[in-house]
Amino acid sequence: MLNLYLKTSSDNYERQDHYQAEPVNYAFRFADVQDIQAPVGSFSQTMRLPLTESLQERFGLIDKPGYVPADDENGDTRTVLFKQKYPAALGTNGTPVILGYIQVKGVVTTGPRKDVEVVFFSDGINMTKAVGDKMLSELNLTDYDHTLNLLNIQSSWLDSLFSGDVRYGLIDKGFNWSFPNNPPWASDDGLWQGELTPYIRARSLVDQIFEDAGLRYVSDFFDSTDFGNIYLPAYNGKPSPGSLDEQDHTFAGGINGDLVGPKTLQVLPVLDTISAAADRQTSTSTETEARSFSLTPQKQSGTTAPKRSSCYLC
Amino acid sequence: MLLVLGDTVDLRGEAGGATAVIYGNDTVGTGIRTDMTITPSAPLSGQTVRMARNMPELKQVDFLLSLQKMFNLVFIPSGVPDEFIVEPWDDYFDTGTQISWNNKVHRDKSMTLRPTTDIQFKEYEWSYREGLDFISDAVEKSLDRVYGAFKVLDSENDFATGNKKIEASLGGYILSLIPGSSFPIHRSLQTDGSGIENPLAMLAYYGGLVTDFGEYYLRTDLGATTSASTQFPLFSPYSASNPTLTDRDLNFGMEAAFVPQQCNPLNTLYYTYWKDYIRELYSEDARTLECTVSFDNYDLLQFHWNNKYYIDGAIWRVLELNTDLNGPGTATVKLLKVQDASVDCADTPTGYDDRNNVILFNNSTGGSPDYGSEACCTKYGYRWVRYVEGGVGKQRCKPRNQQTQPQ
Repeated sequence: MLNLYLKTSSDNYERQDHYQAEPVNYAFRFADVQDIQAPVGSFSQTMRLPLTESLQERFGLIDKPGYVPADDENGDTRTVLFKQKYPAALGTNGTPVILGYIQVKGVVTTGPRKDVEVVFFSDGINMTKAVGDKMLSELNLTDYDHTLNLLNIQSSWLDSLFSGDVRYGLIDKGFNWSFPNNPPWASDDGLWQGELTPYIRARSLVDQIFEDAGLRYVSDFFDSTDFGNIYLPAYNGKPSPGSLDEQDHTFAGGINGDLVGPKTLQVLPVLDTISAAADRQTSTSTETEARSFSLTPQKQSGTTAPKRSSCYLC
Repeated sequence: MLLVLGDTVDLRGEAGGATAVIYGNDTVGTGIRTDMTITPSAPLSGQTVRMARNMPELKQVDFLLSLQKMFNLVFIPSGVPDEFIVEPWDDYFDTGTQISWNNKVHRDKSMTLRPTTDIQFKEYEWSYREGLDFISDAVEKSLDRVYGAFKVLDSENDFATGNKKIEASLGGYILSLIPGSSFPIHRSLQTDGSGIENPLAMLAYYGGLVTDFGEYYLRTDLGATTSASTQFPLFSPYSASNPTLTDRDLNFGMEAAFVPQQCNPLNTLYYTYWKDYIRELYSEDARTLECTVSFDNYDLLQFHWNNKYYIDGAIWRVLELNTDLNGPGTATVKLLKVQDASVDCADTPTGYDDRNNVILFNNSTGGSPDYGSEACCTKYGYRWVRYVEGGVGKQRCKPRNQQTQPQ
């Protein structure tokens, strides 16, 4: 005979009386279990529990319409059970078999008899619902953030960067390399560090997905050496690995008026305060990134052409 | 122009005479003016790499689903709240307990034995998504399929209908050589040579630091070129840096690679993770059984999906079970016959003779070789060719040749 058990404060399950003879139909389908997009183990059953002294003790004064929890001299607020899931199980011979929870639906009084109507829901896990619609880019991977430098790149090959969870490799990210016309490197022109791509261990992503969703797994497969050697390129089309601190380093400035006859080559007073100028990199920046810049100087001569204008890097 | 912290740029000019003018109009970008614009490239070194920011566009659940489809994973609630057992289908069912149900079957009720034709599809296909790179494009145009895909077609079943496609949300990690070199990398290029704006997520094995490809050069943090290195980090679809028959392949089906390799690995995703699952459905003696068994709450407590049940001379696993937990202690079950872990063909490729470039079968060695049969050679994806030795023609099973990569 099937029994309903309610979980106690000490995590034990205590059998409750209930009225028998109702069928409790339970269906298992392996196809449901195989499909992680389907809720697993969903099952519900309505039942009536006689409001015994012990159940009254458990549920409080839910059968008293005039009872107001706020006025309770003992501060008893257990009537919130109408709004809460209460851990429970269906089982037999003292052993819980199907774990879940009950929802208290109401109290039925017939003469002197009082019954509590509950619905038992089994613990179904819907992995899709737990994980949701979040993207890989929304994973909490801050533990794997690092500085792009030669030491970290070389460490990644020696299992020293996050114990091998991140490694660097080479993908042609639109450079269209070929020898000899457009080589990725030469003896005096090595690969830029940003031309490499970080790869993250697939297992690290699985672990974080489960953790963020509040789930856990037991898996010889995920723990295997073979799966541990599989990586996902952290590559989304950008030519260099992206950082959260990316700033716009564009500068545009010019001279605010005509300069008449400077005879010797001299620094022109380029201002970032004229119209349509831009100086998106503050002068107090602590950026240490190596970047390449393209320069587009404009000059327009008047009726008398200037001798020359030049741009110098100092 | 490379700029590092501390560098400055200025614009200098001189005029040709006392009345010559360098014009400025207090405006950038329009009119007669002198202005300067500096447009930076992406950072080349020194930035803080934010890993999440570099993730390809893919939902987390689609990543898990892709793993499920690649490795035929089952996600079974373990009985502990919010915890799953995750294993390949083969491995999960290998660990089950065998229980005899011979005496539990209610023989006074109907027992129905059926073939599996009703749950078969005419065609099964396993595939990655269509690739966005130029090699994927060339393969799809010439072969009308995705590189690395695999199909099973049941041509002998007059009643099986429909197609079942199992497609991962990832792209295949195709390896090709940097033209003019021996370096194998993934080249994320469109057919016009430009980069791919939104590349597909991919998976690859790390093959370690390989010294077979030649010298290459990196830069230091200050931008100077390092001395030559020969230790190149290899990522590839294969579990070894120079794969052979016994290694693993992340393609669903065997492909001729675009890079040199000893021998195409036999252990593709289909062969490793899906073959036995399909055999259960398509074997000549595949059967389902529907019957009524005694099933009380104790049996419910002992029930696990990977249990195997002995009934009437065969082993079965449960596909469906319906019971009244408050009832008379019976259940109606639908079971699928468990197939022996037998081989697909009379001869199984088990090794590779690199001296003669020949596939060996049935655990034979080069000293006492078993060269298999043409039917089994081609069934497993290799080439059956004439092998001339000492003027006498012989036929041998050989690996697929390296393909010429599209330009």
